[in-house]
Amino acid sequence: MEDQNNNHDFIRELVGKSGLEQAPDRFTEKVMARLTEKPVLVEDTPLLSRGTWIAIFLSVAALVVIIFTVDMPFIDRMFTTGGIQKMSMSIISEGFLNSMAAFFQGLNISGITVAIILAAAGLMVMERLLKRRFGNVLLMI
Amino acid sequence: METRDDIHVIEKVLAGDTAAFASLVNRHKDLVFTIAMNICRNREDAEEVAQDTFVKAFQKLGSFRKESRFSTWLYRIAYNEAISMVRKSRLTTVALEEEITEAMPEEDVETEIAGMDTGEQKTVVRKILARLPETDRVLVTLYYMDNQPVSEISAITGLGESNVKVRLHRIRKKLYKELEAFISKKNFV
Repeated sequence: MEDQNNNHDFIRELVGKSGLEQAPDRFTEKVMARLTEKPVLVEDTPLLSRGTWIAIFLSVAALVVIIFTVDMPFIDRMFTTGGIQKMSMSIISEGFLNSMAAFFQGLNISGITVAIILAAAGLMVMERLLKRRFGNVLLMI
Repeated sequence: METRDDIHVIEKVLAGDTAAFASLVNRHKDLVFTIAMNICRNREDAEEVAQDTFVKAFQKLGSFRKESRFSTWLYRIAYNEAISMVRKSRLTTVALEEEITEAMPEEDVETEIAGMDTGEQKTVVRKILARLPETDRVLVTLYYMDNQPVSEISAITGLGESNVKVRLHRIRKKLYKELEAFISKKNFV
């Protein structure tokens, strides 16, 4: 037992001579810098400002008013002569039109007009959905 | 004494004095770095492991139970971090050869080694330790360099106490064999 302890002492002395590894220069400073660095916050700024949203809303409203109040036969002619057929409103939404019959009665709305309005509305909805789902990712990109 | 100092600093850090943590880093950085070096075997990875160890220790300081030694808790984090790093980089270990069959009495080995100058002894020991498996190198560091008791080494490495004792015994035998081989080679040349 004593021999074993002596052997341990010999190894301890010998190994002790090789010494501990020295941590690199400025090690403590680097660690402390990591501890005190502030996390980078990704600010959730909206893609479109409130003002832009108001402008878009007013533009769409103005467009709707123009479409429904001003008769522009040249546009209809332009599309129908190009092969695009007028769509029957009843095909798109008979129920919708029936419910708003008083408003739409007497109006001549082309299919392309309805398509533009629906596309614009669809894009707005899509933009909101995408922003809600991938908002942070888009910001990081 | 060291444990009491550590606890005092830990209480300051937990009270919001982040800068006080620097004294813990200063006190333990060399041994943490040595443990990392023992396992990673290169300075870049070892530095990363050592830094991560202290950052993790800082973040989890609230969960440290003051009835155990801070150093044991810290070295266990270092050991686990280093093992994870090695597993990620899939480093292979070089097993120590055990082909030396000619036995020289341990006393003779000691006499021969004692006759060398300190620089030569240091070189020999470093070469031999470099050939030990990672865990054995950690055991050597903790037991022979830091004088940690077997129970603490067991807590740090997760090995059972009897396992630690057996390993230390084998390591000691291996070291003698390696020293003996070195002496034989030297005398032959």
